[in-house]
Amino acid sequence: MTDAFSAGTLLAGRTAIVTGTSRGIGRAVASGIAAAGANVLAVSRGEAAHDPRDAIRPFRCDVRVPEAPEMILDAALSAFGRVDALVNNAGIIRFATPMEQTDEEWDEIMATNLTAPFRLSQRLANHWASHEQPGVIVNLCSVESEVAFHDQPAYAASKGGLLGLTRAMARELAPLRIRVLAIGPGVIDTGMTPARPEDTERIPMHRLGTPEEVADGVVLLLSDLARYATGSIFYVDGGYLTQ
Amino acid sequence: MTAGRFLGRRVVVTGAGSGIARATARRFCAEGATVLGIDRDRSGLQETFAAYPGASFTDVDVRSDDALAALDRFGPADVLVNAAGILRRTGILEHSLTDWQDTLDVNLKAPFRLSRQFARDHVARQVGGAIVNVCSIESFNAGYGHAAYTVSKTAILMLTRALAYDLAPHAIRVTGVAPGMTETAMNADIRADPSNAKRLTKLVPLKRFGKPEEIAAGICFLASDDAAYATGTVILIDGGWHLD
Repeated sequence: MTDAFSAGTLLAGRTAIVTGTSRGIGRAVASGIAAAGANVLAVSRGEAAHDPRDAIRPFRCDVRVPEAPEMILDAALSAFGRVDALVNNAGIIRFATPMEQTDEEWDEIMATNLTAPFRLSQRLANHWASHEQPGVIVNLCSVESEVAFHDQPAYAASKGGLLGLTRAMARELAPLRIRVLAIGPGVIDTGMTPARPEDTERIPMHRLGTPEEVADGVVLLLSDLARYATGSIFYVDGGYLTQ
Repeated sequence: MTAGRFLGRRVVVTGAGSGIARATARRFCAEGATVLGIDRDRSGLQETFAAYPGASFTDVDVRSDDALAALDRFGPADVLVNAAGILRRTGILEHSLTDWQDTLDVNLKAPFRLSRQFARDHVARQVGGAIVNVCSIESFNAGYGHAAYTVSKTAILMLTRALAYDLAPHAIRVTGVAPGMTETAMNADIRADPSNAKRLTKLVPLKRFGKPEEIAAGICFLASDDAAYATGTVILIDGGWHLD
């Protein structure tokens, strides 16, 4: 975390649900939110180790199962007594040309990247609405909500759709004091593949982003610093979309 | 009308039983194309093609394998227009999973499956082609009570761009049109009330709804050789609504 957030008060007293926290961006987002003072229910399919100093409660759940929204909300309420924020981070990608991308890959990607966020967000929005409580949702979109990369047509469609979901929910939920925003990471070094020169030369900042830099953006959007923002996407991409 | 622009070309239009797709199918026929119309509504298809006995049509669900089989039976096509679409209106808090899934299946997955088959055939034959997807003004903003529809249309905008990017080396162009409020059955109920219609058209700089033929003109342009250098392009045809 940067110094700006080191006081750990930006999200003090809040509780956030973050999905897909076992590694990469989701893991950094959970840590970043905790470092800003919030409690976190960290949802992932597998085992996830978190820094024991952080107020992070791991919860094992596949976001795609029908009962996931109810289970996740219940887990957050029983752990922390309240929920203020949701970060829809869990996502998958399957590489294939348009000729070779299968129906099974398509369905799996849509179920994870689009339908699960819709169902979880809708459950949270109903919870907030019935308690007349404000809330905030951040969806992990991508520069691929705007531009294309090769051999991932289903993923591109899912990330485009998630931006649409952000706008649709933001517009309808604004009167209920529920903000819905998106963050659009560029090429992020998640440690899974080493950065090659050809990966960075197109990026105006000439380097990959870090998961922590995405997490800082999420904390900003969740916080009251962004209190008049809803329905918009904040790109954290080293200038990628300018080129 | 550009007479003979599509002479010798073979064109598939989904949703051809009504609305924008009907106007598009008719325009392709009028400009010389051999057209296959796909729609669930058989009588709608018959009406679309009543004046064009050279066209063929099949009443299958665009989501089904029958639709893919119909494309196969039609044989080598030069143009695919993914125009079939549905809209379910309900508030976001009540939007049902059934409405969500049906909307994504018709508006997004069906175009993907048909485009994939079209692309496979073109790559195998090593010939170029054109796909035109009907996006929406809601690819760029949100319709109130249209959660699933808005999502499907934002998604198909990115699908258009992703397919354009991947298929460009195969000389397959993929483009789209983004209509605003167009006079079709999809919104006939909200246009029927004159005060509501007036309220809506006040939002449009050109102060009226669009006509299906005006969207068809854009689709036919994008499908034609006049647009040979355009790919990944999505043209807004909305009376200037996006300026508001």
